Amino acid sequence: MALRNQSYDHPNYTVVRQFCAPPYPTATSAVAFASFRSRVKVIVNAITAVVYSAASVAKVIFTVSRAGSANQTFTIASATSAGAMTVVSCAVTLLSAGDLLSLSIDESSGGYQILYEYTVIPTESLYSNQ
Amino acid sequence: MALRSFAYDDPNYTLTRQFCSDKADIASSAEVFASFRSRVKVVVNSITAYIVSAASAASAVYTVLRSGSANTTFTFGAGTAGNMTVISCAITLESAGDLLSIKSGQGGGEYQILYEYNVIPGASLYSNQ
Repeated sequence: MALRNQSYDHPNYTVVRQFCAPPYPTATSAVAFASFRSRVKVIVNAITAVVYSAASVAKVIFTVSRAGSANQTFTIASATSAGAMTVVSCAVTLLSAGDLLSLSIDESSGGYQILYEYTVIPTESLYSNQ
Repeated sequence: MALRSFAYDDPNYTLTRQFCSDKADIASSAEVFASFRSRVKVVVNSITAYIVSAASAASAVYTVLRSGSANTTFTFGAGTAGNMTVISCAITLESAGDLLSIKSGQGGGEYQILYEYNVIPGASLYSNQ
């Protein structure tokens, strides 16, 4: 399969893709989870965090890290309720598979599931048989 | 980044997407695995279940759960590793609060699940376009 570039308005570049990270069943403070990488350059436009199993404190703070560096933070205000969620918009660019996007939290209770929405940046070459 | 809606025939809505779950090592009957969520409204059209390593019984019934409630079931024709089953379905997930998952009908074995789904027209996605 060959690497191919497509036109700027090709669906490969206009479709918003989603990645649903596996559940993180029991949080540990400051430990990275929900890791995501892309071989091609992408921009992550939104992150959704869902409380999978209730935490013992209401407010938990998530830190978004790109390649090990903190990028931004967001909170869930009612983490004692399973099903509570928060959606944060962002603009985190991952240049290659070497860039790791991950989260950590300030709490060691509760379980969480993370969704990323991202778009491949135009001119990126994808492997394709088309 | 802004929330955007697209035309009904935009590839954001016509493209069939796939999600491949992590391999699940099932310890006991009724264990729930292969969880999938979507922030935007989607319809899951197909589920493929693959046996990575076999459990003992071939006739166990696996239950597809939508937010904890049974939606449909499937079985494997044979319980050997490498065997798979594909079912068609129409399970709508309204938001990230709706969890799609599988409940095992028996203990033992390893499984991997593939979901095929479409974003429902009208759903707004975060986009930098």
